[in-house]
Amino acid sequence: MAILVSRDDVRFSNLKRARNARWPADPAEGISSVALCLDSKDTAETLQQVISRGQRPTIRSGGHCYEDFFANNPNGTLIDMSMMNQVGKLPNDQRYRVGVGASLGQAYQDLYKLYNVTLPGGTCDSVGAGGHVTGGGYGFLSRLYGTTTDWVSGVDILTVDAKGKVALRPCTEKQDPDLLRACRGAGGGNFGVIVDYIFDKLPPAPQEVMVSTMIFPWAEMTEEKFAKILDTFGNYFATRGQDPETWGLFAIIDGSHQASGFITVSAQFCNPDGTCKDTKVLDEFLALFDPYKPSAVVPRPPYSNRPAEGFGPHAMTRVLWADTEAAGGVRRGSSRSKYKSAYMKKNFTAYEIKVFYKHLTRAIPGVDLSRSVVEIDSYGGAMNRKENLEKTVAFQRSSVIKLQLMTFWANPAEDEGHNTWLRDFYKELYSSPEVDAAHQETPFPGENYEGCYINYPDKDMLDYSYWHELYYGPNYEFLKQVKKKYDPNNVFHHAMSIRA
Amino acid sequence: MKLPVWLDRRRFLQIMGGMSLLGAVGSRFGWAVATEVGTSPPKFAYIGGEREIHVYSITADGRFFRRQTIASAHPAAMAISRGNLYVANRVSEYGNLPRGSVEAFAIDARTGLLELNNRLPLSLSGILPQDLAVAPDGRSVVVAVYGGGAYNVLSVDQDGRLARVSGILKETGSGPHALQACAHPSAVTFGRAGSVLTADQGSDRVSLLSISESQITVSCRCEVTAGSGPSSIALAPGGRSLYVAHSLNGSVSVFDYDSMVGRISDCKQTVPASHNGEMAVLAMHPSGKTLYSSHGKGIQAWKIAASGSLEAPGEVTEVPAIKLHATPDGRNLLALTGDAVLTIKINSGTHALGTPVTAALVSRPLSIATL
Repeated sequence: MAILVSRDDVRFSNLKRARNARWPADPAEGISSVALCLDSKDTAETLQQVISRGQRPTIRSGGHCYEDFFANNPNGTLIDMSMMNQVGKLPNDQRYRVGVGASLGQAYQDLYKLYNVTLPGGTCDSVGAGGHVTGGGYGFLSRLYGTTTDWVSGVDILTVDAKGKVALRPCTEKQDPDLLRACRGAGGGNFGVIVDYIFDKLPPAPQEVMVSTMIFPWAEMTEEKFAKILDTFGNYFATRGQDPETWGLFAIIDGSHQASGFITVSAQFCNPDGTCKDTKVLDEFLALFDPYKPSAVVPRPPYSNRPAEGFGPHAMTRVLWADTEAAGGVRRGSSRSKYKSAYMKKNFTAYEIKVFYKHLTRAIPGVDLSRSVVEIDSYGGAMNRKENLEKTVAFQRSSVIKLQLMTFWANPAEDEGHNTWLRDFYKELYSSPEVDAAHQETPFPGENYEGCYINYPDKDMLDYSYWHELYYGPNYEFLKQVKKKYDPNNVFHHAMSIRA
Repeated sequence: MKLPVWLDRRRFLQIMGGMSLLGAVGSRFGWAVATEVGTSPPKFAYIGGEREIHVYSITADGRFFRRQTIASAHPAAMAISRGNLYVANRVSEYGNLPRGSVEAFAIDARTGLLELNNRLPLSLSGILPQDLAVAPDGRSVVVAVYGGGAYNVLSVDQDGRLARVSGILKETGSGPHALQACAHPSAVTFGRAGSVLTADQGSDRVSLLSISESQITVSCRCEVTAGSGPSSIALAPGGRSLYVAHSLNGSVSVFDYDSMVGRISDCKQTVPASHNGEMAVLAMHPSGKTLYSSHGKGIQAWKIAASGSLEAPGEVTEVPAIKLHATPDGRNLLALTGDAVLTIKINSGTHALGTPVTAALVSRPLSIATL
């Protein structure tokens, strides 16, 4: 039976929190209870009880959602899937199963130890499989192997029929294939409660990888040097990076704001056979940056994102026990953040590079931008396999770079300043002739861009009537049909879900 | 019955060409003057249009004078309480999110004019609200959210302003008709304090809901004929009988309602209406002795027996009414059509309907309230 944590439970104030301390934006939008589900039977029973009571369910696995999709549920019930973290195979079934509550770090370790396979998923080990996989799920191995959702061959999902009855649907290409396809890329909170991801096959885990980080201090940066670094990176992945020989290379520019002190270019590499016997590709890539003289200085470690509190003569920080590393905690609500994303089909333009430089060196009085960054990820490779266009609803299969713009802070008084920085940056980035007149300020799918990533949701994009095309592309009508068929009462919804 | 005084727009305007610039319309012969002691006719009428509310003053002889037109999002339902007008806007977006909205207007006691107090969103995915009702104590408003399949509760502040949504009841359900793919809460009315009677066109249900500390829960449900689509309700004064109009099969049903126990009985009577449209509206005569219904093509007047059952209706008044409103003095029935507000005199003895007369021309009126 699920464990119900209601408002009078001492754990409620901790477990109700989202990782992003901004949510819920208003306490009145918060949930009234958390249901910790231990298996799919628990989840089905809990979901039925919630429906029968006339409440709205929202779902959480790792809790990394950037927006308030699970946290904004006034007096509703949050169905927490974090304890449904089994990874393995069922008896007499050779397919791999990953429970939605499994963190990526746990899933990688379990799959590696048990079967020597892996998921080509994200880089943050505490992200839960639940939202990550259904929204796409990409990371260091994705240029080599594709996104995680590309490998999904089945989902077990609880849906609510027109009469309000909960049913478990084991979706495969032969059974409810439309729902399976929709779950491969549409993101969480749309159609039901996924309990398990099933994979007929998974790629082999690499034996070893080479990692390298080049550091470029802002103190030694000029606009010209900055432009060359970005252009070099972008040009590589738009050209040489399309060669399958290079798909074992995944690189990231951590374009941190000037206030942070450094930008870095990191890379992870392995050969397709999972070894690093031949590092020619990595050497070739790193050598491109030699002219820009990366520094040997190691960046200072990140400081605590919570201000120390004074209790008497010594500074100290109050932490909930369940949040501490010693307790295996998951640090909820410690930082406020905002995110935006874009897919790029080509290298950076000179205009875009100028905009990057402008906003990464911009100062806003009273706003600490030292934890504001543009993460520039290499993309393409196996992620651009066109056969996955029909098998999934992740339509972005022509991009070579993916951007994630982020800003982090602790003080609510800085909310407007950080949002302003990010919005100004993003709007200016996409206010050029590269974007057609009808879709200015957005990376609208076309010759140069492929929209936005649903796993980096951004409610600001609702300002644009075509926001759904940015995230779902040509698949939105299909997704609406799936929505109507499997969730006719629109039980599952959030600010950016498929509209009923 | 034919329409001896039914005027088309062009002829009407020709006749009215010499009227006051204030746009007074209507015939002094169409309005029944109140003669009962202690029952005053309404002085003001509020007509919701596509994106506005028109305020009319009503003279003693029943003429409507437009006094004000004030912006509103899409006023599909209105209710007056304690000097305030509450409105549910049948929209599907508010602030870039899929939500309907509600508005609170203060009513000037002397002039009847409106001033917007506030406008608020309904709950997320609470789109296309269809009806609203104000609690007898004036402290809360319940909204039937047709598109979102939910009910929302909002508290009313001391100054009459609406507070944000405090209670949500999410419904699920469906029926066999093509329009019943999911739940569609369509109508709400208050019983005794804390009790809300509702009709859901999508799930073929009539329900009794309870409101406590701004939260809303289900007390009792009653299934109705599959595919009938209950969409309008009226409660008899004294609250022992509940009447439901079904939009999908053109019928009217009667239920016993026990307000003390909080129970709706199974349907005790169903009568076919004269026309089967895709809408249905009701209006209760304040005496509780007559129920008026319309399914889009004509108005029927049903006598209500002592048991609450409906007796055979009188002649159908062939008015394509989309909304009905019985004035509190019981003397007139106001009907909204596609482009007008009609006044229909009610016979003081039989409650039969007289000849409809145009009181005001309004493009696509949606809702009506009087004060």
